[in-house]
Amino acid sequence: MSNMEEGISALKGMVGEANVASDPDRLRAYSIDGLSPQAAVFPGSIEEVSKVVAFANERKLSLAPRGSGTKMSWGALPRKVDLVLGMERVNRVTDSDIDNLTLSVECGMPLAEMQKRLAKEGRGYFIPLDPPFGSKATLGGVIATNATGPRRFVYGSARDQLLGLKAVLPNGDIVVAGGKCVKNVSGYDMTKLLIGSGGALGILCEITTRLLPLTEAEATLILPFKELEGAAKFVREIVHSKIFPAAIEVFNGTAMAGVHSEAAAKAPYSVVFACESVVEAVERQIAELGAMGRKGGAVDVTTLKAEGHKAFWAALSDFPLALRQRDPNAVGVKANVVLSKFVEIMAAAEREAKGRGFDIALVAQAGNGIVQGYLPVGSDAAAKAGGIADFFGRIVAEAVKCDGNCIVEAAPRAVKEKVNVWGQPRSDSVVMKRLKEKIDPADIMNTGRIVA
Amino acid sequence: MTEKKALFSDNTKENCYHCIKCGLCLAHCPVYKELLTEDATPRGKVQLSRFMAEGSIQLSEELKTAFFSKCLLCGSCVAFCPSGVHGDHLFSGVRWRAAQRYGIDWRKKLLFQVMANKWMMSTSAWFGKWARKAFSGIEKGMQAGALPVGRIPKMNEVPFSKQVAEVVKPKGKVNARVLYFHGCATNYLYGDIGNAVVDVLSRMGVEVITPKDQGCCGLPIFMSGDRETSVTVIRETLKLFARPDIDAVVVDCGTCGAALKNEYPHLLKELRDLGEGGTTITDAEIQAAELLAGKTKDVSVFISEHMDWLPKMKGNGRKTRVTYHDPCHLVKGQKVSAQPRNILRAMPDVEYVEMPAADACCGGGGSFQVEFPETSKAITKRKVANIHATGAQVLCTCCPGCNLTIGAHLDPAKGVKVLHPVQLLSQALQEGGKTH
Amino acid sequence: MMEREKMIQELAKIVGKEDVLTSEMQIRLYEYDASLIRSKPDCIVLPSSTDEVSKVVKFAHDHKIPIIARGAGTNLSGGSVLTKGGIAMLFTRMNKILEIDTENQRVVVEPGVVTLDLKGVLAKHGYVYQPDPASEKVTTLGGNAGENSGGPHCLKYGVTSNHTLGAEVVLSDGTVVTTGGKSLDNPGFDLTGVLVGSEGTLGIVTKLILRIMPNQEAVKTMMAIFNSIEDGGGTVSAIIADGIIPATLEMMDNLTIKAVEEAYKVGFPLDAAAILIIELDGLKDGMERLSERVAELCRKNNVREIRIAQNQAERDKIWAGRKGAFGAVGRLRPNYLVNDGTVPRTKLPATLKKVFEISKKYNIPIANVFHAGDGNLHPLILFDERDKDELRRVHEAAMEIMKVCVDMGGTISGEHGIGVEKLDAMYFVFTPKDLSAMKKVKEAFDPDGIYNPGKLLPPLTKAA
Repeated sequence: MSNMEEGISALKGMVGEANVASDPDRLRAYSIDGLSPQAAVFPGSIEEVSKVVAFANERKLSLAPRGSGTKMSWGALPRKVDLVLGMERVNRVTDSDIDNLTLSVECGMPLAEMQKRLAKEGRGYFIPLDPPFGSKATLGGVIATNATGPRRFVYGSARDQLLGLKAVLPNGDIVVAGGKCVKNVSGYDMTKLLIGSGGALGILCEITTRLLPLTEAEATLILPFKELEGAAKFVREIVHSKIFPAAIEVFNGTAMAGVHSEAAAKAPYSVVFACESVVEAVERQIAELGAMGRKGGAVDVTTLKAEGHKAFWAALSDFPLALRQRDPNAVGVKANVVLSKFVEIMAAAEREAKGRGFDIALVAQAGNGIVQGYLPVGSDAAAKAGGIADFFGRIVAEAVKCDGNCIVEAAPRAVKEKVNVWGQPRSDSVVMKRLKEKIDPADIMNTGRIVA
Repeated sequence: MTEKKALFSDNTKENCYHCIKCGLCLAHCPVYKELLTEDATPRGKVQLSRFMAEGSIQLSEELKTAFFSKCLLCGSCVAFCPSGVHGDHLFSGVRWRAAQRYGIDWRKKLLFQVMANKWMMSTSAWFGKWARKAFSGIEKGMQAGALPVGRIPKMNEVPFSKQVAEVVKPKGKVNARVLYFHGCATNYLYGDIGNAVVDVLSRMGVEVITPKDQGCCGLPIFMSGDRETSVTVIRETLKLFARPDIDAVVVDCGTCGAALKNEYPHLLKELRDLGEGGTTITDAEIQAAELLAGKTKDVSVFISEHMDWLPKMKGNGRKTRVTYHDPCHLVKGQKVSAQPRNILRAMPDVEYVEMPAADACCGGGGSFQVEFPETSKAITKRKVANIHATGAQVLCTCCPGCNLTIGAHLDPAKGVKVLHPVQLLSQALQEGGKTH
Repeated sequence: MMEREKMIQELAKIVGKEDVLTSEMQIRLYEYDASLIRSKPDCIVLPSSTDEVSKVVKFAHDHKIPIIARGAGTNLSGGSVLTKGGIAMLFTRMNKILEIDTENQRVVVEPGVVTLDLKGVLAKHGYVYQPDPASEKVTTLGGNAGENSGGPHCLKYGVTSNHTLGAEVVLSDGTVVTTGGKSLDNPGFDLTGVLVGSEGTLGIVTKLILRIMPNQEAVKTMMAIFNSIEDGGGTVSAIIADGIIPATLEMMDNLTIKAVEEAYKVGFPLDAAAILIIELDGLKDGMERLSERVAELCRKNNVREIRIAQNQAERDKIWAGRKGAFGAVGRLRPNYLVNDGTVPRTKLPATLKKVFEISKKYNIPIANVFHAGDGNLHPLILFDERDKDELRRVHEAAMEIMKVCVDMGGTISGEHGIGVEKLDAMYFVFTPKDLSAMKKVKEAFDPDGIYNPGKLLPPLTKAA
């Protein structure tokens, strides 16, 4: 762009000199799939976000929103990145209505920070979301990518918890969707449209979410199994029972080794439960799940309480973060299938990965049919790209057979060049495309990266 | 010209406006559940009644069909209407005007004339018996609408009214004096029920008076739109049964009971207010109707209220599995559901099982099953499946109409008997408590 | 639009002559729903397959004929009435439960399935479909999806959209697509989420994929009777503040109590100012302690009497009273207009106070029954539509109540939809920019505006 100099000074005028980075060295940290932006802009308020977006729209500058950067590997290769829009400074709590169990907070707020504050409020509260990258992720990134974690089994996902949001649309309009009431059918449910829209339709600026009181009691149960089939059979029994643990996760050995090495040493697969409820119910869950597990072939039952419980789930949440720090090229895939078929995906992923020389880590939200897979790549990603693309193709095919799909959540550029990161194309993409065209006619938002 | 006449009295018309169109009646309407269109709904027909009363739509053949062929007049909508809309009154009013304008099928008209005239009725019963004998060779395959003719029970050899003594006094102490209204079905088809009623009541120390000249309750007649003919039979019934000197008028049929208890006062008032219905209805007649309404009791209610008058039942230790079907005009029309079950549960040899949707209509609806067999059969099919699912050996019900409809459609291989609870009770009270 | 006779002929070619209803009587039967709106369709079509729906829609699209999907016609905001003529498509006969997949906790249904019928079938498998609109005995699942119906148990389990995971949708040009699916998190935008609650303005659903759950082990239903409505409201807040999230918290005021008692004879005391229904569910362990705690909180808030249902029959009785409450007030006056504004739970007592003031100001009785747990009010404004002056005051009162809800931090509709009745009130909540964003969604789905025109979205700016 010829006028970038002038553009940068205009942006500085909007958000302040110190809040625009244009130095190429500094910008490298903000590159997306190897593509450096021409500037990174850090607005300090929703109004500033609106100005920056309107400016970009006018000049047809491609914009990529960013929180703390844990999801920058998400999406297809961008066709163009002109500006990275850093949202970290848009991070105020705008309405903390504990009595009504609602919270409005701007999207640059890290989830972990918010949870810490809420735990100290009165009798203690929390936002019922526990996504990966939990210690670092901002709410904006979590919501824009609809990232979910183990406790989705009882609490649902963002589409179940968010009551409203404020977003800046590509034309710079600040729009409000939903509100702070649990029931709201006034107009279209724009909140749901924007959750998981990957920044392709607008910049999420503020969310209003439900809160829940911290539960009376909590515990974790780890039950190692020699065979995946045995673990799956046991899980099925629990999913269809009335016991309702808060989370039902199945790990393979590689994943468990990264979260709880003692358990990993006991058997190649583990079923893990989080129990969160009133004291009596948690005691019953511990007793019953343990007994049923042993009957079902678990080689051991480990119960974690208090700090041990917290540490386990924190370690799981940060598992991909730790992996990425060790191996920036690590590939992340997420398969979504009907819930009984998580085991088919785990088995296929292990088989297909092993066959290509990869030691894959697998964690399944067994009650939700979500399987996360992490492939270490290390150096020489280009040489391995073909194998990884093949692997991915197989998993997509398997997932489609199980009424679902599979996407790439993180991969080196060489891999993304060879695959459709969004898996199998869908019949409803025709509507998605029209939505994208209507709302973002200049195609400035995350250009090329998002499914539509 | 019928158009010049008001469709409803002012009171009845006002009732239309209380329909808030919430649609709850749809859930309880057996016809809607089969047809699934608005013309089959009580809500739709209440709206049409209102439109007609307001003059924004005219009565037509199509409307007539909707009110006759897409409604059983079972009263479910009335029972479940939270706003208190009386669909039955509205719909029978529309049927009346439709009948006046378009006429009543000559066969029906003839039947009503027969029913209104007791002499002809007994003759025709004799004729029916003779005809069945004469045509027994071909009747197997014959259908009367939804009813396979071969499965309609045989007529009584002698009408019940000729079998029973006009006054039956109990042995020993007289606990109560009742009038027994046995209706046409018991009289001509189900004499056993009548005998069981008299037997049980006598054993309870009740003096049973069965007026010889009683006839049809009139409900099938006015529900079919022939209010004029029905008034003659209502007047007959009032003369015989509206008596202050007795303890109760017992009825063994849910439909007759509903007529005596609910319909007479409304119908007579409606006709008085409209100034129609042949000779002018007098206030004295309305008072008589109200007196009768207050005295009328289903026999199951009467027995259930005086269980302590029943002799002890010993039982023979052989359990019979029994289930119960709620006749619409009893459960919805008279809110009677616990009493017949109480009687069944009181019998030592009865293993009572509740069927799913016991209060759902059987699909008969009097002549509905003859005129609109497809809809009727579909409704009956659900009922029969629910009965067989219980594994019951006996189905009890307090309505000969339901008895006839269900009895004709039960799976013969299952051997389920259809009885009035009083029949079972009468058997249980006999020596050894032998059931059936 | 084309000539009516021609239109009927063409439609008959698609669905068969007997499945196109055209007589005066039929047209009049589809001019209403459970709201006050009346307007006649040109004809009614009963499709029996997705293919027929698609063909009818394609035909309507090619000739720019408005089209609307209709189930049991229990809409409370005029959503199922065609205000601009056109084709009413009746889905009551597309009522098959296509698949019960307990293994994956999903069902696939046609839109005409009655909500309670599905629940009945699921109960045999030990499963439950959670949304429970008060009209569930009659309403169709398609209608529930169109309106994003709620119900008493939303407090814990969420509304229809939380349980709707996918749909087969006929787009406005007749194209058939699938949104979402049996699995969660399908890639792309959450179109299912936008379709649910779009009041038939974006697409016509021909199949729904719904989430089902195993039944809870234990349920405890309690009824708390109060001498003042403030105490009832205080109890609601106290329960939540105590960290207890019941499955439901439902309240009724005196006028409603009287009407319900007359209609259902469920044993409500006629002089009570408020009745609060509290239901807890979950594992049986700890349930006794929690319910005792709830009782204690009631007592702290001056409860007059607490009744605990001892069995299913008693539980059903309490619920029969609540679920029939709307209809029962039909005994008090011929008509009601029901608002369903929502406020943050803590604002309920203050909002109710305003509602009573409005009732007095306009001299119109207002009966209140509401989902106290989620702040969803249902003021039932009682009147007789034949009294034109009263009708005018009713509409003014309704607008004022909605304004109060918005001022309290709430919104104009919690579950009944905007339809026609609340179009003007949309300006209380949304700016022209917000509305313009919604309009883009509408245009992306239905560029020609044939689906349920004139509903949900008002013009961007209010006509002067």
